[in-house]
Amino acid sequence: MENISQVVLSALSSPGQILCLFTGSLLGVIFGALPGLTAPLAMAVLLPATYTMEPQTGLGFLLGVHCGVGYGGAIPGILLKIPGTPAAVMTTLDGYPMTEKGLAGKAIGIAVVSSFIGGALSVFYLMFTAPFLSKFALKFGPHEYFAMGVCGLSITSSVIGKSWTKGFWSAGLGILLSTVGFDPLTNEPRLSYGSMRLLSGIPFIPVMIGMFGLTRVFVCLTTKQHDIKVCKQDMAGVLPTWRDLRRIIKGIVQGSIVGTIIGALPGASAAIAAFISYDIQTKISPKIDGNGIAFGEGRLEGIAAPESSNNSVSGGSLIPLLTFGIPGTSAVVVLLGAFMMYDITPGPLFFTEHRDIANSIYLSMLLANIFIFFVCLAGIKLFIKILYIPTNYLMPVILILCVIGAYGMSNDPFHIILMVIFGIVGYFFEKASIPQLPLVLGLILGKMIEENLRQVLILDDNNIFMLFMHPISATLLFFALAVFFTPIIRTTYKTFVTREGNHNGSV
Amino acid sequence: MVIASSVLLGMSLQIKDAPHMRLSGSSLIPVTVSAAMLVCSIIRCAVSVAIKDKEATQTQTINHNYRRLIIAIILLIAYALVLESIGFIVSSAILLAVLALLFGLINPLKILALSLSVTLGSWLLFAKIFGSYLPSFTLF
Repeated sequence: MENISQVVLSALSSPGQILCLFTGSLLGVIFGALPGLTAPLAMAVLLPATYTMEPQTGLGFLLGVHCGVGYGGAIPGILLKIPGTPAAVMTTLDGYPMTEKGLAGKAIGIAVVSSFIGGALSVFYLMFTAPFLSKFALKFGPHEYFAMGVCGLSITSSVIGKSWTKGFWSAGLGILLSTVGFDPLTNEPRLSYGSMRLLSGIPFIPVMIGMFGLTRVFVCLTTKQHDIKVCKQDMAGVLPTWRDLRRIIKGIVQGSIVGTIIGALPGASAAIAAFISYDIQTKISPKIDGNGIAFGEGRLEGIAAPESSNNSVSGGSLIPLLTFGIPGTSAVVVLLGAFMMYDITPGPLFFTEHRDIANSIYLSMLLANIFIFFVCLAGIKLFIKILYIPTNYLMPVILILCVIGAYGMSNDPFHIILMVIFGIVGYFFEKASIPQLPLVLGLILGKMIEENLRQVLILDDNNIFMLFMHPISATLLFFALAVFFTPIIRTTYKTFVTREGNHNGSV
Repeated sequence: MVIASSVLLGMSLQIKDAPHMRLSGSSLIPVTVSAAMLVCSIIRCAVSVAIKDKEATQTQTINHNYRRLIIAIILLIAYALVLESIGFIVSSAILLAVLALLFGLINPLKILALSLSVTLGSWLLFAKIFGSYLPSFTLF
């Protein structure tokens, strides 16, 4: 307790440390809001700025960036249907329909509040449950990772709408695209047809920017401007009411737990946490709420759960880093680099040898979340003004940001061409009413699913049923199967009952 | 969808597996997934033929200008090809100017202002403040 009060006093008496933390947080929000600029890129680009800082100041700056990106990604997703980060893809599903109804302010308010509570809760989980969660994370092997990937993919059935064949086809295409490049086990090239660029696989950032960002630009290009109506936005209630909070609190708490656990698993990302959390929320909430709104049409819980979850990953991902020295996500790899730069070794002795740094990390994350919360809430009205910018000014700007996002990843113009190709694919998907989200889901999760499935088959002598012999993987798989088939059975049953009713009526 | 799935299945079947890795080989997921995609597309086709697909018969009330789309696609590909030769500022300014025209802006001054301000603003933000690499003019 004395240690924490000393850290607080030391932070408060160092305005430079506070300023660096807040600057990092703001930059994180900006990076998150720009499509294609992710947390690892933001932290890698801004790492040199920490070279001359004290360890606590530098780590605080980077943690501010890490936390900020989670908040920023939702803003363009809600306003323009272009998620800023892969983790914001699920938020877009219910966020953008709210914008279409004139409730963009409320959607952003819900996202910010949920992100704040999720992020703050994850810091407390980190403080009090790190040893337990790290032991749990050690139990995850190929069986469990495969099951988790299937769990994340099972959400496809919740977002495919009426035509499950089109949705599954889209998800299958995403998984197939994830197999392009070097085989993860044998290192043999696959489906690359001699192209050096395809050997490293199809990166999902240009695909995501193309499918969501460029598709919007193409739709606007091919449609007359007066056909695209911007709904008048209601600015009266941007903060969630007590009634709204009661509705979303379950989703926020569920999201924070899922996000922290998933963040603690090496290799699992904020996007996976958001997918799974959204999936769970669709199952534990009523299909239609009191206002007659279903998921995907502007449900508050559909924004709260994934936002809370993807922000909680920032706390959870520090668990394997601080307890074992293993970076769980790409962003945390950069953080590990910063630790090494400051000659601090994370691992089993971290909490005893560097107690002050550990406390400083907890405090920095809490302060970053508080600061970003107030800044984002204050900026909602400004963000919404983006909607009123005429399309012929806004779309070229969005296009150039998409191009920079696709190019900035690896400074390769080929990624711009990839983005254009998937922009065309996304455009035709929209025309043919094929859902785009399953393709992105398949691309993100495909590698994890394939690599782990093949490892399971090798380990268990091609006996796939061994997946059900491991308690964690069996639980996840049963959950995934239930999630997968329930909407299909429900839709098929409803169609059957409706047709029977029509037939009996006509008779 | 059926044709695309068949092509993808054909491509996947060409993937060679190591002899000792028949079931857990490189082609497991590509073949399985593309076969599933083919099945889905055949079912979709059959359902569309058997029952009138209501989505397909809804009349579009919005006019579509595909010429602008094709021009934009060609422009973007050309942009990607010349970006590293003529640099970010020149190529982006030209891209933005033509896009502004495609989006219906007619006033040359507004087009110039938009393309230059956005290009220079992006360059300042990303290259100077964030320190990201944006290509410079290297043609001569």
